[in-house]
Amino acid sequence: MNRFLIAFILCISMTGMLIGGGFNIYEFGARSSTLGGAVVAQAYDASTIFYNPSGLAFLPGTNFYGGVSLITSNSKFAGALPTWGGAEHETESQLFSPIGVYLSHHFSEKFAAGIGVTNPFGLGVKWANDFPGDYISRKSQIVSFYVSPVLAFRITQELSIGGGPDIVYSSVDLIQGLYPFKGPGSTGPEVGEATLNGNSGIGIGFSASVMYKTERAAIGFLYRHQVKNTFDDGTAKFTYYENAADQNALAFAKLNIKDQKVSTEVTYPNFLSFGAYYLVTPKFGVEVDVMWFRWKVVDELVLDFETLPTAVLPLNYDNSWQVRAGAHFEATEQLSFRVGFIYDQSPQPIESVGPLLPDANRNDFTVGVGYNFGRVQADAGYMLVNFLERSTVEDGVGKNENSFDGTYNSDANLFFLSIGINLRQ
Amino acid sequence: MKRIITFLIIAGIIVLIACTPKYPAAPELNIKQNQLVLSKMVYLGNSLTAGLQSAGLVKDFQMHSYPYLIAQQLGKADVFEQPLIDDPGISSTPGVGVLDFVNGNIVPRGTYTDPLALLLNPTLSRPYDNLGVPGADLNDVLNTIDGTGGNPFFDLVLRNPNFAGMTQLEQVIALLPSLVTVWVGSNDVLGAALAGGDLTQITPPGEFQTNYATMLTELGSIRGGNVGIILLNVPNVTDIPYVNVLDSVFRTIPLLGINNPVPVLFKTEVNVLGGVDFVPIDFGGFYLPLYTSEFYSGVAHVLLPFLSEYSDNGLGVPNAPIITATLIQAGWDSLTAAATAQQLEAGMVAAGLTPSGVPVPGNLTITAAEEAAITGAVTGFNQIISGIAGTAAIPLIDANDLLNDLNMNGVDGYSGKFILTDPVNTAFSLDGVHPNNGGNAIIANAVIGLMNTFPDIQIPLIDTEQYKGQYVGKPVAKISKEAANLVRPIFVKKKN
Repeated sequence: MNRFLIAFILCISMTGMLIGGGFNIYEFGARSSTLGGAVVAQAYDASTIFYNPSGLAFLPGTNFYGGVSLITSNSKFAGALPTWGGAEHETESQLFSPIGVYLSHHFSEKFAAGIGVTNPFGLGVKWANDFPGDYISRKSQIVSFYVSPVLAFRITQELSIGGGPDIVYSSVDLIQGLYPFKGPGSTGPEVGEATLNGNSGIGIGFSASVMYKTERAAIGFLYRHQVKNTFDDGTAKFTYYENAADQNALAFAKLNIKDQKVSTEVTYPNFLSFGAYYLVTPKFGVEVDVMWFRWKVVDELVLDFETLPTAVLPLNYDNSWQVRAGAHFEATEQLSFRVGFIYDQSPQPIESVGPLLPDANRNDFTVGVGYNFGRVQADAGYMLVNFLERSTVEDGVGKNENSFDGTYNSDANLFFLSIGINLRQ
Repeated sequence: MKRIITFLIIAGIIVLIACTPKYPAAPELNIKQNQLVLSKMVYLGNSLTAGLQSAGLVKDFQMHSYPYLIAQQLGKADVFEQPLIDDPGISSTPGVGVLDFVNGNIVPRGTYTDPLALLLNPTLSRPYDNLGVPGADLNDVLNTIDGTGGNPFFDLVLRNPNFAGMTQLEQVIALLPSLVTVWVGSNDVLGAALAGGDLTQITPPGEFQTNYATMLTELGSIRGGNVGIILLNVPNVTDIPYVNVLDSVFRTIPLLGINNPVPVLFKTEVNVLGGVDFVPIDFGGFYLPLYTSEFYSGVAHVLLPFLSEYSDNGLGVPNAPIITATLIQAGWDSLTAAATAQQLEAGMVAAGLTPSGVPVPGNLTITAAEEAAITGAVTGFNQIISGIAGTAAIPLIDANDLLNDLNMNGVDGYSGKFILTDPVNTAFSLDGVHPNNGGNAIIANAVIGLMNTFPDIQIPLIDTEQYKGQYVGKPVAKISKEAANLVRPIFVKKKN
């Protein structure tokens, strides 16, 4: 009983950690993540290569910083009455592990360089085979890799600029129930499964950033440009259920829907971040950031098949905001505690809230701890992402573009672990 | 330390479990459970369902098919899929389009070379929601997959072999509809009437019963039985303008010893409806019978295509020798008969007729015996349908009664007369067989009326008045020969 009580309290107190709205991920360093990602005005470790490359100019020596975020998420769905009969379904548990690995070097008082590998955009939603919305999506997964070599230049004692190209590669994996005759009002019979896989070519973007830093205060600004990844050589593979209830529909599918090439493209939005940091006491500092994502670039997903008709999934995302806040307390010279909070506005319009991605506004809460062993720094932490309940039914009217109406309730748990090594002073 | 680590691990697991989100409450739509039956409506039938008018199928007619009009009332017309056909439309006469009413004449809209090229939405990746195939009889619904039998509409609607050889019925089932409206059976008897009483074109009742029951059994299994079905029965195919357009020219002729009404020579007179009436010609005290090959069998109806042959070539207009023989047979002496016949022939010419002496062939007339057989077949089919519907508790619309009401009393101000007679109020299209826009609206309202007896269903009825005046223009004086030729072969098929 007590343990459940504890758990309940922890739930409340931790409500809210992170993966960002839409399919943005922003957790690429345990220290930064447990500060709610509010670090655009800080250059504490080499993860500044991702959060604000200009900060490298303030980071002496040669540094490695790397770690992983372990993400589990769960979405629960209750189908609208009476269309979907109030049916309850949930996603299958999956573990995602985006990485943030960095290497930086301070060449001189004014000049530093570094390289980082991160996965800033991605998603993974997988429903069980009996999920009635599988005519829209049974599994959706996108993983992006950003390789970001950066340069930083210290213009004055307090001011630096930085940035560099983003070299971006992605993979996409979509699975859908095969309902060849689906249309308004009826899915028609299910006769198999469609699996779409693709690995992209290289897309190029860039980042540009500024940091102004005094002894106790700092401000930072980052702009990261949009990147388009093109999947020219994807595969669409169809498996058929030989015992399908409608053998005629099965025969139709076998005749007309065959394995083939498919191409598509995905654009990751540009975003900018602006924040201010203040060291309130020598042991206690706070930062607040505001971020803006230009999600309007994500308007639709077009699947261009070799022979099948082109499929267009409208997404029509809106631009969105995030507010991030974080605070750290240095308990000793070695031990540091961190907390953070994020308000994350969903870019997803109600019409495209669905099994592919049931997004919602989120409150994220983070806690973390760091320990400095000298030249080695270890950071760990946890984030609870608390999605606000979101329904596609408004005033009794179903808004989902595929008529799959219902209410979603989701959350995600993230665990962070990173190691920093000061390779040379 | 170990205890602390153990505590942290346990606490962590509990946090994860306890933080798993709860199931949200199911939201409620402004739809009642009983209204789900309207979520996916599919229609199975023949030309009456397809929206065929004026001898053919074309998009502006299809946009007034009764299923489409119902979809409009439900606000779902934009997602209701039909095999839309571009101009000039397709009749079953190869290469010729639908009939139009142009400057007072009934003429084909145009010609085409490839019927399949006229299909506007051939790539729809699912069966059409309107699965009415012009010309389909009950056996076709269950078994026919393409147009190899000579009917191109099967190719246009069913799109085989791309749909893996699926029949009309199988395509309906594959759409997993919530409500199927079925109107089949007319073509199991219509051909007999349009061929002038070819009774071999009537489907044997036993076969009809078996096929109808099979069809309903298969439809009833959709969604595990959670499907709504509405049936319409067979309208009396001798009660349509194609058959009854000249019923007004039947008279007894006591002077010739003819005491049962027979068709007589007639002329046209403009009537108060803006059309023309067919009026028997009084030749100095008596009427002259049309010269028909089935005269002695008791002609009951003269069919619509006869009109053009009558006015153009004098088909059925007797000449002096024939009249002489008729008079002699009626007891006249030969000299008086010959002299009178000469006078009558001169009178016919003066009336604008052409005394050809060529009899109306049997395929343009229906005898009383043929009509009785046809009407009996309709009654039999409708008894089969009502019997099966009653047993299975499937709602049934009496389309035959609706047609009868149209002819006897009119419906919403519409009449069952042909356009030549009643160009403003007619509910029939230019072919005299199929309903026009207003006629389809009347049918749609009958179906909506039945749907509105379902719990929680209230679909607004169609304002049928808006479809009046489809054939605005000068009243026609005659049906053109080419138009008449177009009308007939569509529905008359050779039985295998």
